[in-house]
Amino acid sequence: MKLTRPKRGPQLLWLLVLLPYLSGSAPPALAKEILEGVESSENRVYIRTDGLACYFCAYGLERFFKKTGRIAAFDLDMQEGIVEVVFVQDKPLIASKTLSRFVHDAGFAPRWIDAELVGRLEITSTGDTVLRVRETGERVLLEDNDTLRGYRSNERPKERKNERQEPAVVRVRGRAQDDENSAMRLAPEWIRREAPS
Amino acid sequence: MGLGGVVIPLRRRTAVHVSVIWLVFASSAWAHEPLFMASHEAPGKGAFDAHLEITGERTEAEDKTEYEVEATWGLTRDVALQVGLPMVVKSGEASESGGSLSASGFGDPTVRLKWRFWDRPFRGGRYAAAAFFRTTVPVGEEGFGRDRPALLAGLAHGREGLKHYYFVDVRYAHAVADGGDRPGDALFLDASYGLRPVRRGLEQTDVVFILEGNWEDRDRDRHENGVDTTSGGRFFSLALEALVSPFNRLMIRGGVQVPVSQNIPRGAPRRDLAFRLAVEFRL
Repeated sequence: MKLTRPKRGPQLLWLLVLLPYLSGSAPPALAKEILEGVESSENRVYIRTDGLACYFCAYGLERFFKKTGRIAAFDLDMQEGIVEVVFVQDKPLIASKTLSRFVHDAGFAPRWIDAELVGRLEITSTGDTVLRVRETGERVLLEDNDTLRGYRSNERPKERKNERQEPAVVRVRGRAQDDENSAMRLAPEWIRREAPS
Repeated sequence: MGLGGVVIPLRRRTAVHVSVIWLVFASSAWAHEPLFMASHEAPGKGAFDAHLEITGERTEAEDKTEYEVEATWGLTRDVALQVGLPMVVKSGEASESGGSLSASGFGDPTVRLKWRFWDRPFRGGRYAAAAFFRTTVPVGEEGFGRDRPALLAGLAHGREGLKHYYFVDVRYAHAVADGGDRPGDALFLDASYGLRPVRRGLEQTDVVFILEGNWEDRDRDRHENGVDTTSGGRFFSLALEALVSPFNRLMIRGGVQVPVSQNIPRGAPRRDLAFRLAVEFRL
């Protein structure tokens, strides 16, 4: 008697093929929260990353992020190769070199990091401009480039009129560079006044 | 010792032959690795993945299903270690009575080491190449494992992308002689193409289809009495697979391999369909 067994292989394959289309009403992609019960910070970074081809492979990144306890959510733009990271409110920033190492160890190649931070501009005793981050009080050195000079030339006259008031809260986006004394240095690409809360 | 059901040892020759085929020669998939071949992919430093694989093969002589539990560790960014424990269920027809026989037992655990030695990432993908080595630890049950290790080494190259994938590999398998029995060495050449028809977002179901071509040149088995003239041959198969990731910690792969041509000696059993279903969870 010849032994026979139902051919389950093709059936399983069809099931796998149809599965994603049966769930075609999936919601649009949103930033994924990886820590529950925490508030998201107003500070975030964007890591341009090479090698990202699928979300399953990119899980290694999420694992590193989760371990820090300082990242509330993240999102991936595969087309542009951007990893967006949102910090936990009031927790210290993660250094740019640490973020680069996470990306590298997860198997990908970090190209650059942009940071978007909210705080007040201050002038140090050496004449450098720093951003004092509103949530954490950390000081991030700003590179003296055209963007910064342009902002100061426009804003300083207004600030002089109201010297008794604190400097305005601004949102700064710029290319992050490793810094020995702080989480990062920023080369500002734009600086915008935040609306009063 | 078997695991449930009526356990009747199959012929030793058959047992040795199929154990080596399945426990060493079969590839062990992770991420978007095709099911019946190897790839360059590595899970990254500190990664820990748990796998369950179910593999079935039909030949004229017997049917066999293997259940394998595997664990993968990312030792470094580019080096991964994988350990597998297989359990094999075999069934076939008795040569004398014509009745059916079945047997089950643990095969030899496998250890695989992979090193991604070349990596060229780009936006939305990467080109990469890896070397890998796989061996069995000869501690499996009689009839399912061997008293000597069997070895497999190879090279893999591939491209991952947002829409298109390709993989190629070359593998060579060698079994150390075991009391006069030695399955024939085998050379494998494989190529595959993968397509992601629709790009989805994070936390949405992601699907990739892969078409594989698998070529195999197998030497004849050797036994105490000489060469087994009903073994060995050249085989070419095609496989179609679907890789489904419902969310970013889970990957389900299923595929069917269909023999296209078999140049085998007279009297050798012809291969029939093979299927594989693999579930991988990232911890």
